[in-house]
Amino acid sequence: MGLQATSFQDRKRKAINIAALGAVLGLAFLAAVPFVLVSGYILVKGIGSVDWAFFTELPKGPGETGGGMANAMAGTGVLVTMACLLGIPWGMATGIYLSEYGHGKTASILRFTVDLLTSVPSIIVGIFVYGLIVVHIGYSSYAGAAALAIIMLPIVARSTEEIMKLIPNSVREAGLALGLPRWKVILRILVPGCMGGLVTGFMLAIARVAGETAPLLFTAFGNQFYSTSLDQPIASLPVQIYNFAKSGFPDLVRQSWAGALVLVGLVFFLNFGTRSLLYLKNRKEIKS
Amino acid sequence: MIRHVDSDLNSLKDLLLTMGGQVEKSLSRLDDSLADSDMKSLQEVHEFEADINRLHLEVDESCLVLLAKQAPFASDLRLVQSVVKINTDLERMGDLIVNVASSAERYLRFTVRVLPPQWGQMMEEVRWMVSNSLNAFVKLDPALSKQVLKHDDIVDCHNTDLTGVFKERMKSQSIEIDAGVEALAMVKCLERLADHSTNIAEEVIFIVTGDDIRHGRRQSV
Amino acid sequence: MTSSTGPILTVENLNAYFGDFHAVKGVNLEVQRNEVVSLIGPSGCGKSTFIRCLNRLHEEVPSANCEGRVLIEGQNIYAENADPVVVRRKVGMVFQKPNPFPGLSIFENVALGLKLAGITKKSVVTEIVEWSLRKSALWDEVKDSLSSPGLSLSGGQQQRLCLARTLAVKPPVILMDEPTSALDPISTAKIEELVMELKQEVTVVIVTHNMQQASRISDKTAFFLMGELMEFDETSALFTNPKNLKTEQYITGRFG
Repeated sequence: MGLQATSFQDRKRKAINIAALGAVLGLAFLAAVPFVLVSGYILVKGIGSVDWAFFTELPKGPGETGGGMANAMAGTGVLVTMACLLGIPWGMATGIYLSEYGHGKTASILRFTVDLLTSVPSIIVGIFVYGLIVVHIGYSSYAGAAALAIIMLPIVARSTEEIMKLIPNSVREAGLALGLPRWKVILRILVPGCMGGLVTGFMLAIARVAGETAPLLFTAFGNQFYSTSLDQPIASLPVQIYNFAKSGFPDLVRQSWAGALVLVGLVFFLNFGTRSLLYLKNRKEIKS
Repeated sequence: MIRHVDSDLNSLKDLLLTMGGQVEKSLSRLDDSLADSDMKSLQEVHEFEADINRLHLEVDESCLVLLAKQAPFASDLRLVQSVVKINTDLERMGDLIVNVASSAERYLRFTVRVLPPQWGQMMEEVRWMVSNSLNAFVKLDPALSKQVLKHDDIVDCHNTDLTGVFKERMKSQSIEIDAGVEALAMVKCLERLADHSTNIAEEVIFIVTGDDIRHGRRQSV
Repeated sequence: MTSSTGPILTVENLNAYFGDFHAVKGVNLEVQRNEVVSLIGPSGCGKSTFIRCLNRLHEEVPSANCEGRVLIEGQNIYAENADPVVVRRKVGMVFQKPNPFPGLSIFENVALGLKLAGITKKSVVTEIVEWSLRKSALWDEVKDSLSSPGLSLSGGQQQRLCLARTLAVKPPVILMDEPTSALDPISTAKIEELVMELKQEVTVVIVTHNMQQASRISDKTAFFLMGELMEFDETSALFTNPKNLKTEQYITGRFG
């Protein structure tokens, strides 16, 4: 008897294999279609309006032409930076607790709570911060950053926890066995050791909040100028896009497409840039 | 648990016992030939010796291989080390029997001399010791080993007596000097055979208890 | 305060637990200065748990605890006021799998313990790092690549790096938990050589599954079974003529 697959069962098996493989491949590629379509559409609609003035000028009033979104870009920068300053240490601390100290029931409850926070709709977070801060000090960068930080918190916390858990326990024991207190083991050995993974987690969180609109509507509100004080309303790209898109004025709608393109590009390059840096760093480590 | 090393150790023991058997047979042939003054069968001890020498090499090699491959510990290690030593004893015993045969051959050339009756008694003791030191090894029986050790004293007495007898005969010129010298050599060899048996008995005690009782270190027994 | 003549390590009635599981049962043991002591026994016999009690690492496992006295240079490491961090500077440890600190260079791996122990003068740190790397026979292989990551070394080199890291803080006692079980025979031989050389300066307690290794490198050997210390004797005696039947059965491979 030869080794060729000739029987009916063999041929049936092969046919099923090919069909299953085809289905998996097809659906996997289909998953890329929405991204390609979205970014392609935004690129086509927005590229024409992205010019120098768009990056440098303030928005013009309704009916006027020209102007840009410089204030919104600066605002997004300010809001995201402030949210990072608050959300990353807060999230990291939570993640470190969950990974390094969280063994008991308290930790399980905390972990569950953090997971629930991830699933709270962002508009609810906005309303919450409105009630907490805005009613007292008004629309402001503080309120906007706080809302974004709350959204970042569970993402940073869980990614920190997962990344830290990847470090073999023997590394912790090696640190302890050297006579280092646990907190030094965490800050001097574990955190530097998985910095690459942690930064990737931060980037995901930043990418997520950079595009948030709903919570900012209730907190940072937005304006048409450069904000000069953190306790004043501040513009941001998503809110600006939202406002311009629903304004109905063709020139503003056109600019909101450009804003969308810049936002997508910003997030994309942030992601891509971080990954490239990490890749280069890893390659250097492996090569040497 | 059945261990692979056990089959190796058992083969090694079997090989050593085959060798011991050849020594016993050789000694028995010597004894019978002398009793019958049969010069022809006396020659046959040489064939046994050749066989013993071949086994000597074989046991040595088996020990080396076993040590290298199994790296034994504790009682296993003691067994292998003792086999190495008993192997040397048995080889020497084969040689000694040949020596007795050669001396006997020359002794018997001076007309037919009857050996004194005590020779027979000494020979019997030695054969008992050889045979029972090997039995003790088979059964790993320290009690039997100790009996063998006790019998060595009897052999020593026979040795002293017989040496005296032959010296006396030489002095009284009832035998020639040449014959007397051969006879003394024979007695000496027999006594040495008993000593090698005690070595074997001591090794058996070492294998079983780990106590080395040689050279007067008997207090630990 | 500390005597230099008595045993460097005394264990008195040590019991260790994981929750309800009694892992180490009433062990008493004395280790003299500059000795290499091997701990052997079947998997799960408590030997690793036992040495982890000697630097108070056992208690870092949730639900683990232990009781009894462990005297290092005459001082009880389980005394009320004893600080595990201080204890661990006196009792170094090398683990089963090489575990250099990720993301740190070869130099930093060795220097970290020093820096965090308060030795920061650069010339001193550099000197001790070199001394440690020489002591662990790694210097010649890494002296030109001290800034490469520790993880870029081979497994055997990583283990020697871990040894250097331990040596750098100069503990009088070093614990080793199956340090060569993940290494090839050449790397294993190097570690064994190092242990035998190191005993000029330190006392080594080493857990090993390899009885040949125990018999090669140690002065004394302890046999553990089901959490109990069955036999503790000169290595030469234990491997040729063990007193305990269980030891005999274990080292001749009749169980375990």
